[in-house]
Order: sequence, then structure tokens, then C-alpha cells
Amino acid sequence: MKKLLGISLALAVAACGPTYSLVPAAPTRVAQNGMHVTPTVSWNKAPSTGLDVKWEENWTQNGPLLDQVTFIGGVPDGQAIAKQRAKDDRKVPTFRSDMSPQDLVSMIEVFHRLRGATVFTAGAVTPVTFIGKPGLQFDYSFVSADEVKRRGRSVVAIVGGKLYMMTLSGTAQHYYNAAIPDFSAMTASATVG
Amino acid sequence: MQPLTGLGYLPVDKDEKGLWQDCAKLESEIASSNRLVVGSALHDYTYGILQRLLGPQAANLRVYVLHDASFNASMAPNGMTIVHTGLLVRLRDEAQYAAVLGHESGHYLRRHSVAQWRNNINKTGAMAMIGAVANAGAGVAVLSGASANSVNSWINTANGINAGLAASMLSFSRDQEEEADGFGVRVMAEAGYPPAAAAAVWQQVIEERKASAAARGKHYHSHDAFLSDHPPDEKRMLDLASSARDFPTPPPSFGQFDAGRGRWLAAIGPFRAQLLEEQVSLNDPGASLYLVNALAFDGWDGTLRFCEGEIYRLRDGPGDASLAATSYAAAVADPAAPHAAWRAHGYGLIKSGRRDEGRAALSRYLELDPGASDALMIRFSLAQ
Repeated sequence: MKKLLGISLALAVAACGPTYSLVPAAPTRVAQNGMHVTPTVSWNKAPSTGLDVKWEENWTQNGPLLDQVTFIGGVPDGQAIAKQRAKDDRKVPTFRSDMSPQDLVSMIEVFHRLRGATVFTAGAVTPVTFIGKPGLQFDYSFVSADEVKRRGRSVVAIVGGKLYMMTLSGTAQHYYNAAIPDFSAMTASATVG
Repeated sequence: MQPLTGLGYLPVDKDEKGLWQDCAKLESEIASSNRLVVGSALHDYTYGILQRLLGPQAANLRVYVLHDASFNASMAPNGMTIVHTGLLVRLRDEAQYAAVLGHESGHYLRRHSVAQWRNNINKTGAMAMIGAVANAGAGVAVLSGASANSVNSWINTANGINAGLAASMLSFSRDQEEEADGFGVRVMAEAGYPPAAAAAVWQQVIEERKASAAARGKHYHSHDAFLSDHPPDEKRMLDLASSARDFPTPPPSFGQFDAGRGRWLAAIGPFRAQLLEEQVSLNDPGASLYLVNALAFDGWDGTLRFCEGEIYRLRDGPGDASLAATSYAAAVADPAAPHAAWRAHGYGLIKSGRRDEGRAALSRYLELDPGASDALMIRFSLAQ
């Protein structure tokens, strides 16, 4: 009986937990007000999880396994884009404000590897303007434990010693391509704060 | 040890037929996996070694080499043989690979998975077995050096099909491990490989796990890194070494033992840089540094120096930039080093204030690889 009560309570608490919320196609602040973007279509803001760092916000249109946009708004020097412990065997490199393009690309690759990508193929790295500053765009594809091939694009800039990043990941079949136009519109319109 | 599985063997009783059906489902997933290494070269090479070890018995086996940085290989009851790239990257010669494949063949030919399957069912009941798979996943066995946080990809696939299958394939008793070790050493020796290679493989894996733990200021516990019930402990090393001494010479037809290092390098060469990158990009500096140093036991080259530099760069501790710079400088002195070594060398020099030298190195990278996927970014850096 006690067990049943426990399960009921757990379910009740889960039902009251944070849920997805609609983000309309209008200018909006994201990632703890770290960035300001203007989506051209509506999105669903994901509730934060224990895996998120505090500068992070995630959106999806069809569910995070199919498509997901991640905003990272202002990670300071000495912090990482993933939550991790000092004694973890494997860690995403700590962000440094003097990171070279190569360092930023490596950081993104390690992030995906440690989230389970056993195949990771780096694609084009190109210079772009992001949040009004010179930055880079990194395209890649990866396969994780669910065997699904996904594509990803990360757009990154360092402003005032802090890391600003937007990432789109989606299944290579359909969802990545479907989300690219709005993702591109958002990266083009993004500003700090 | 007499094989219980003959050429063309098919299961006869209900338990084993069920297990084979599950294996067949898993194999259909694996055969079309996005993780399969592209091309047939490594698969064919592996099959050739199995033929040398097992003769006609190899006809029952099918090889799948999967991208996965964990140290693992397995042979399912139906002959599906899975090898991870994380195993290949850690081996130094064909004899070491033969040691692993010989050990797995021992499990396969003695139908250990079937025995384990029945044993698990009898002991725990079918439902409890499904819960037990979580432990199997954490200590993935056969030869696994996987730590608990690197869940093996195909195990997840197996979970979706039959949790008990994964547990049966990955969890063997101590007696079964000893039997497989003994068989592995014998077939190696009979195929002309130096049998001492078996103990060497295990020793290297244990040392790597110790190095990984030490790098993060942790103590090494064998049950963290290997199958929790049956870690390859020091006693097992001694047993393997002792078994190897039972075969002081190869069969007369071989003249002398041959570790097949030349054949190994020829087979693994085209994949080596990529497989090392899979390990290095896990940013597990203790394990990765141990690995490149173990591989460098046979001599440093530009690829290993480049990897060493990458490990320091990703670790990013005090003094690591300087260590990385030294490694990259050594790497680019080898014309066979990956082109990316010039890029890493260049950015490292620029960061350390040696701007002109750094720009020259980046330019060299573009000369060597004008179509590089990051060429536009490099040109942008040069224009700054």
C-alpha cells in the first residue's frame, strides 16, 4: 500500500512539473535574457532539465528527438557548456574567451561525443557575423545511441569575453532541413540581451 | 576443450532457438546500422584472422565493425561477431587482435551465452532478468573496458529487442572466462601467433583504466571499468601468462611465432587517425595519454604526436598549451602527419604570441589541404 501511495504521489508531482510552453513568432528574449531573437514561426520552449547549464534554453517544433534549437547566452570564461563534475573522466572543454575557431569546433564535437555520438563527421566551418560580431558557423552530422543520423549547425561568437551560441540539431531526414530556414532567420536577427 | 558448435550448427531446443531468433533480430539492426565502418576492408581483414584461428568453423561467423570508442568485442550464439573501433585503436599487432578474437571464439564455440541465458533464467526468473540488463550495460563485458558512462551503442539496440539477450551475451561466469582464455591462447599458438599477446592486451587495458582514474584524482576499481563480476584481475593475467608458456613454440609449419605487426599496420593504417580521433575527442586525458604512449612503444610518429597535442589542448590545464605546442611541433616534422597538425600548430603559435610563425603554419595547412572543410575559416583567420 505504501508503495502504491508513493507511486501515486510521484505521478502527481510529475504531473505538476514544468511543461512545454508556446513561443509565438515574435521578438523574444531567450537563455536567461542573454539573447534576443525573432522566430518567424512558433516554437515550443522545453522545460529545463538537470542536464542544462544555467545559460541555456531549448526549443523544439516536433519534439527534441526530431528537432531542437539550443540557445546559449553568455557563458563566462572558465565555465562549460555542459553540466559536469570536476572528477568526471570525460569532460567538455571549459570555455575560454581566447578560444580559436579550432578550439570552439573541438568543444562542440566533444559535447556531442559525450552526449553519446559515436559517429561524428565535421563539415564546413565558415566565418559569419552573429549577434553583430565576427563568429563562426560549424556544420556537422552525427549518429547517437538511437542509430538515427542527425545533422547539426552551431553558430558561435564571443562577445565581451562570453560565449554566445545557437545550435540546431535535427534528423537528417526531413526535420533538420525543415527547421533550417527559421533557424537561419533567428541567427540573423539575434542580438545580445 | 571440445567445441560444442560444429560447422553449420543450428539450435535444437526451445531455449536456444529463442535466443537465436533474438540474435537474428539484433543482427538485422546491426547490419544496417549507421555506425558500421564504411567499406569492407576491416571486416574482411577480421574475417581472415578468424579463418586462420578457426579454419572451416569461421564459415559460421559474420563480422560487423562498429564505430564505438569503447573497448569491446563479442560473438553471439548465431555467429554475429561485433568489433568496436575502440578495440582496434588499442591494439598494436595482429597477434593481440587474434587474442581477442580467439577468446570470443571460445565463448562462441562452447555456447557460453546459451548456458548463461539458462542460468540467468533459472536463477532470477525472466522478469528479473530484464532488470538485470542495467547492470550488464554498466559493465559491458566480454572484453569491455567501457566505463559506466559510455553505454555501448548496440547494447541499446539489444535492450529494445531482448534485455536478456544482452545480459547473456555480456556476462559470463569466471569458469567460462577461464575456458575462453584457455581456448584463445591455444588457437593463437596453433595459428602461429605468440600466445603471450593475450596477457599483454589485458594488462594494457587495466593500465589504461588506472591511468584514466588517476588523471581525475580517483582510485581505480576494477568493477567500475569491467564486467562487475569478473574483472580481468592480476590472477587472470598470471593464468594467461602461464597458459602461454604451455606453447613455447608454434606448430612446425610456422617455423616461428609471428605477431603480424606488418599486416596489422597495413590493415589499420587507413583508419588509424580517425579511430584515434574518436578516442581523443572523448577528452579522457588519462586514458588517451596512456593509449598514445602505449602505441608509441613501437615508435612515435606524426599521427601519435598530433594526438598527444590534441589531448593536451582539450585538457587545457596549467602548462598544457606549452605541452601541446611541443607535440604539434614534433608532429609537423613528420611529413606523414595528418594535415590538421599544421592547423593546430598554427593556432597554438598564434595564441602564444608567435603570430608570423602561426600564420605560416596555417598557410601550410591550406597548401596541403586547399579543399579542407574549414578552409574559409582559416583564410578568415589569416586575414585578421
